[in-house]
Amino acid sequence: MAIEEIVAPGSSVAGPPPVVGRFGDLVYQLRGNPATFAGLFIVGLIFLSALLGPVLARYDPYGVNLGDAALAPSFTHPFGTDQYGEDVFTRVVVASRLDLIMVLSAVALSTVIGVTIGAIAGFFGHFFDEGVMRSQDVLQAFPRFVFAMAVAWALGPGVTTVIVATAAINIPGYARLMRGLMLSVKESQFALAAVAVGNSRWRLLWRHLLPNCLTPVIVLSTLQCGFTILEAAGLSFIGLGVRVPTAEWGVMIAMGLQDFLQGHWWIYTFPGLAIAVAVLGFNLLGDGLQDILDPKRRRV
Amino acid sequence: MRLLEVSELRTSFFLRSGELRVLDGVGFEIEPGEVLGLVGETGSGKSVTAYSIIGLLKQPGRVVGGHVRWQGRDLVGLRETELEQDIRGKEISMIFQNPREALNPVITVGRQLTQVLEIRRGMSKREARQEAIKIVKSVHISDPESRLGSYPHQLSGGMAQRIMISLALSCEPRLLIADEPTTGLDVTTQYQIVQLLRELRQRTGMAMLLITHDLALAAQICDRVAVLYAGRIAEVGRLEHLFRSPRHPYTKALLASRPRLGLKGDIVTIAGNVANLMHPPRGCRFHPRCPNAVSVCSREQPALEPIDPGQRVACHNPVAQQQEVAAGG
Repeated sequence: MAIEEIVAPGSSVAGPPPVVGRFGDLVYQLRGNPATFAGLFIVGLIFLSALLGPVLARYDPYGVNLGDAALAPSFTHPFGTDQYGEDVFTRVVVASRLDLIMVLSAVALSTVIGVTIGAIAGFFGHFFDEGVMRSQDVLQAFPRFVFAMAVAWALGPGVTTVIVATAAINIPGYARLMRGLMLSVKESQFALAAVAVGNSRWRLLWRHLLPNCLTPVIVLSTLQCGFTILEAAGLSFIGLGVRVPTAEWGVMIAMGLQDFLQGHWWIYTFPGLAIAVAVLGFNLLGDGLQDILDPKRRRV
Repeated sequence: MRLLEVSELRTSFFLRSGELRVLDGVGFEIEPGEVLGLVGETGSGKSVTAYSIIGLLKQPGRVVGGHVRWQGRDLVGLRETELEQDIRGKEISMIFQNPREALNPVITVGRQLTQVLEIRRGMSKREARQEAIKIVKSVHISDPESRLGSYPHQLSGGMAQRIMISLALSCEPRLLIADEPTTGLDVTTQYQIVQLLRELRQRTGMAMLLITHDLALAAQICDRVAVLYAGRIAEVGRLEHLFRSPRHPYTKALLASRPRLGLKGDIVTIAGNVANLMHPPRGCRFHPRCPNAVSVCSREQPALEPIDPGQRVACHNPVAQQQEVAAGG
């Protein structure tokens, strides 16, 4: 009786309801991690605009209309128009699709190649290790962007060029990371135990060791998405990547700079902001994933 | 037929400073369903013996001689793929000390268990899940359904060792090598794990090689005990004979150095250090520390020879046979 008097009717002693299911767990993790949530929100927004942008756009991103050239931001053109009269807002939104495709392909390519190289080098050791890692050293001897420029120049301009060039400069980073992780994890007690209870070497490598190395790789990949946006835009900006007048953030900045002296700041500022926000989003998400993916560091 | 017969096993580690002879002619045998204890000090080569048997030695270690016959088939020199397919897990499995570190930290324990069942026993996902629950129940884990969803770091040491044991048992091996299975667990948990191992042995008829430095643990569970000193078997015999009447001076000293209830004063220790394996003493490796040493000990290596029924000793001047248990021992 006494207990019922103390606890007011309707109040819950048990606290919030228990978290159920994978999605519930994800929401729970994100609530303890507002920065990650912001990152996820930004990245989600970019994905959404990449998916729906071209459909919802009010203007044609390539609709040249010299009568409306270089208009300052207004209600009809929130980001203004460029020197050909194309709506900058439409082009920023539409460009997200191309930029995202380039970035994700480049990161996926470099992750798959780099992780495979690094895992094999670390796991098998000996001359595999030496041969593979020394070749990565050679690649890393060049300044990153200069190397990307060389690759892009050799391949000629185009979307594929941007993807291959930005992927190429990132491969050694993944290989090095993966090799280091593999070297430490293959000496661990659970690797020995896994073999002792009957796992084959290949199963050990793919099912036991690789998953133990994945958290840093996923985090690096997410962070790398941010940097790759910069590099892809950079290549297009100097004319080695995607060409004018394609709606691409780097190209748009380059176009805006042609009008720099006329004071048409909106032509290059808004694509620049889009790059900055996208990089920020991926970085926040990458940092947060580090906490969420590690079973020992996540909220319990 | 004998289940496992190890003879003249030699394992060396090749270091920059030379060859380290960690095992120098180790031999013993295990009958089906038997529990053999392998006891010895740190560095005597207990774990290396286990790793040599199932081919888990890491560089720079290598088996340089001898045989490991598993039901007549020599495991030394067997190809890695053959060991993987025919031996490890299926015939011989192993559990380790520090069980939490022996489980994969990023996969739930249930998945680790079902993976093995799916691959090695060809079960479907659902069958594997059912079987996993059954196995985990058999090692006395309460609430198995929810436990299987845990990650290793969420388990207590005793719980993790139970999971490790169920992993090792998942393919119904005929020999379980337990390498210091209770080290790092608290005393009550140690007792429960020992009880569990005993029970499993009764139920499954599986043989066991128990590696330990804890004589009390060996006494609780073993049928026979082999004493290892500096890479050689000093003495091997039935548990009760060996403990009651040790014939090797090292076994005797080892038994005398146990902490006991009612012990007054300091614990008796064995003078000197474990033999340097890089430059082992000539003759018997124990002779510099041996109270019974005679002149022949520093010249000739004693062979492991039968002395009492079921008991063999490698000593030129063994301790006299004792008929009675020492009072208060």
